[in-house]
This record gives sequence, C-alpha cells and structure tokens, in this order.
Amino acid sequence: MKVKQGFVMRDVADQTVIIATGEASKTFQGMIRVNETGKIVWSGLADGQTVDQIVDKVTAEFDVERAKAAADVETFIGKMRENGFLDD
Amino acid sequence: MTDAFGRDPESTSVAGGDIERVLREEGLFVSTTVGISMWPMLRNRRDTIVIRPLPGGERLSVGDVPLYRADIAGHRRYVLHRVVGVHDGWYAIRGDNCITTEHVRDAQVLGRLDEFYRGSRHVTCGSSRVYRLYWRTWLALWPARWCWKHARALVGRFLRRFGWKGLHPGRGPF
Repeated sequence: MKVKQGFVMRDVADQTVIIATGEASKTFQGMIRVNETGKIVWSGLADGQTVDQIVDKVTAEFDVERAKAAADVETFIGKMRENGFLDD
Repeated sequence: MTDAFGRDPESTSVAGGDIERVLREEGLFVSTTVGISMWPMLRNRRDTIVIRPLPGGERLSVGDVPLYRADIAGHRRYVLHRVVGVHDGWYAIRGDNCITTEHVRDAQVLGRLDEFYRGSRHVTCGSSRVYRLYWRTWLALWPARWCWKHARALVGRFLRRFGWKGLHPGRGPF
C-alpha cells in the first residue's frame, strides 16, 4: 500500500494539507486538511512503512494506547482510500 | 479528522464554486495550477499555490499575483496572473508567459498568491528577495519578450505556408 504518484503534503501556516499535482490533479481537484496523526500516517505511507510501523510511531508520538492509535490510523487510511489517494 | 473538498473533475463549474467556498470558509486555498501562462514561475500541474483572501479594503500592488474570476468563451474560469498596473477600480493584469494585458475589476479578485512551492522549494511572496528580483526583472523584460513572441509568431506563420508543422507537432496542451 502506498501513496499514489502526484499527491503531496504541504505545510501552510498552521495547517497541513494534501493536494494533487501532475496526472493526479486531472481526477482530484481540491485539498484535504490533515491533523498531526494524519501527517504521521501520510509520511509513513509515503516512506513505504507498514501499518504496524505507522501505528508504533503514532503510539510513541502521542502516548496513546495502541488500540486507539490503530483505530485512528485505519480510519485515516480508509478516508485516503475513499478519496483515491492510495495504490493498494 | 479530515475535510475533503474534492469534487467531480469533469464539472469545471463545480470545482470553481469550491474555490470561492473554500476561500470563504477556510481562509485559504491550496492547489496546483493548470496551464503555462505563468511560466517560468509556475509550471503546469507541478507546483503548489497558496491563495488567501485580501485583508478588507486592501488593494493589490504591482507584482502581486491575484486569483480572479473570469468568463472565457462563456465559461467561468479562475485565473492566476500578475498585476502590472493599478488603477481606480481595476487592474492591468498579465500572465508571466503572456503578452496580452487584461482588464480585471476589483470585484473579480478573490484572493492573492501568498506562498507557493516550486516543486518542493517553498517561496513566501511577501518576503522573498529572490522572488521580488524575479518578478521585477521579468516585468522589466516585457518589451523584449513582446518583440520576441511576435517575431516568433510571424516566422511560424511564414514557415507553416511551406508545410512546417511547428516545433512540437502533435503535442496537445495540458
């Protein structure tokens, strides 16, 4: 599972957004605002990390229970899949 | 956790409506650009723009790059070009890769380019000295660019009479 070519994450003032560039921008025209958890998940997928590795990172970063972190990560991945950001 | 603003890409008008709504509700709009009219600064579908509404009552200055609403061939379009002249109630505006100057009223202006990413390189328009040098130089070169583009078009028209198909035959726009 990895991020589709053309989707990029940008830090803008106090927000982080994901937009489409290149060929991806022909089918997706908009911006997705993400929070800190989303940033970690996105960066992890872009770096080729597994879901377990990403969950480990979220757990360590926010000092939350692993089950909660796993649920949040799966929710975010689900939204990314819905919007066509991922290549499975 | 997230807010999605993506819409059906075949409906340009819907996407256009989203730009104005996003600017109004979120206070900024982040996207890529389509086209070559702002080359070399912005490249087709490769770079990222950050647009913010103008603070109340503020007008644009020469060098600013506004996002404005335009009706082109009967279709609503959202255009990003550069201010080359400031007038009472309107602006003279021109793309960096264009020679035609447009007349844009204050009411058409939706926001201003505050930042952009050229690839992964981030530029803040209001504070980057390199960027300021770029647009000042580019505007100063306009008379030479105007002559060059007209000369190239004349030569192209002449050569096409003899069957020349252009520098990039068969290559479509974006």
